Amino acid sequence: MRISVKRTGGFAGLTRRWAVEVGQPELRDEWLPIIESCPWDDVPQTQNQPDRYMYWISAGEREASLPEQDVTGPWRQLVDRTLESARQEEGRRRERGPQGPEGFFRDTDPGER
Amino acid sequence: MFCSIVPPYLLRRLARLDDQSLLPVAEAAQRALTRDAAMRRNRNVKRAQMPALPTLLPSQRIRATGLNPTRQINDAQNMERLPGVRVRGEGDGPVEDVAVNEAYDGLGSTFELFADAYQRNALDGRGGILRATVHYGEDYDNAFWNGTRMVFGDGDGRVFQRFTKSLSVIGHELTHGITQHTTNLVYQGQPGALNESISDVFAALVEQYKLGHSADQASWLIGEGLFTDQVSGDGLRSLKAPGTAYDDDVLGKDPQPATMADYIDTTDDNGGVHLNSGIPNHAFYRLASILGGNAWERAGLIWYHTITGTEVGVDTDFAGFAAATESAAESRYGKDSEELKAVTAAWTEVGVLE
Repeated sequence: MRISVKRTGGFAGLTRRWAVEVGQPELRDEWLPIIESCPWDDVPQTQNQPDRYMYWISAGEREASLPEQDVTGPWRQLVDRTLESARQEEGRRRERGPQGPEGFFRDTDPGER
Repeated sequence: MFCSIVPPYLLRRLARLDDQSLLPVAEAAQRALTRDAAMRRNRNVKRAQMPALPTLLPSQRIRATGLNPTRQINDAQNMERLPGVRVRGEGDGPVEDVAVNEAYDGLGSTFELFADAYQRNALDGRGGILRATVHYGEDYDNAFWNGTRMVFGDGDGRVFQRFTKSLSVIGHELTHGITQHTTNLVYQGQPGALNESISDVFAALVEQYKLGHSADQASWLIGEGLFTDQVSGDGLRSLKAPGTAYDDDVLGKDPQPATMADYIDTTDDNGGVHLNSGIPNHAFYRLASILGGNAWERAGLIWYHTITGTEVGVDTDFAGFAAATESAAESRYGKDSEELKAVTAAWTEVGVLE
């Protein structure tokens, strides 16, 4: 399953994307419990606070858009885990082969550029 | 008519001097400030009618307008919890933590612009407390306004430094507080981009007022000095030339449009509030540069009267805002004034008016 996070806005207005492809058994054991506890069909329509981030989160067919202050509980777990895994994957990719420009802000979701 | 050759910002600095040996200098500066303020209130006032000048400087905190800020700085101690622990209050001396002092001083500079140039007493106009929290989260690359306080991250150290480092960030966030008490523009689409732009405009003016920079001397950058030296960029946004603030291998290029021809339709970023703000930003820059001199004076006053007037509401779009700035210029400077002509020209140049 493909899990991705897009973060837009913030004071700087910079967009960042992270994505991971998760297979079994990791998906079943570690990810699905979090994904299924996110209230995908019950996202509050809160107005964002000035200069806070907007998050767009997707897991397989499910997706949700929510302001930073609503990224709590399982949403926050899912976002943190996605970012962490995407960074680890990026690190492994760097060790493997020739690189593009290295940098903290490099998108780890080449499929969505 | 007499003018002071020493700029107000320097007078203010001198007026605050604590050193006893420099007291006469401080007194003289304070007198000059009081005088200038009186001159500004009524340019036709005769010298004989001017209010009695203070003979002794009572306190470094007494300012030309008689308005003084009340500031409270808290420390989130790198957690995402607000408000955090109180670390500095109004009148407390500097502490060791540079972010705390930058926030305290930046709140003061922002208060000063609004008090001196527009006679506004803090965000609510009633002297309400200015609240800030520093050290929010870990490596947090952002600063925001949460409805009651401004919140600053430390940056990740690779792309961004701490967000208190740039006075324009502080001015920007506090102006969100003023918007909340005035137009209360929704944070979405064109009204949201106007909300953002108003924050950028007054942020730029806070810096210009502090530095004594006229429109042609100013950088017109927002977030100057925020990037680490690993990033190719001067700042985050440019009112003078939107789309040119940075151009970096990793971050990409500043995406802001300067005119309606390049308006960006998007659902990201609450409908591009940090992108399309480039258009009203550039209109303000054009107005300020057509009029020349200090941008916080005529151009800033027109904008200030616009946001505190009755024509701009929660869902005003670019065209509605442009019309409101024309009304503000006309009612203050007249139907045939160069100010009104400049306002119309500025909005026409960015494609909002035809």
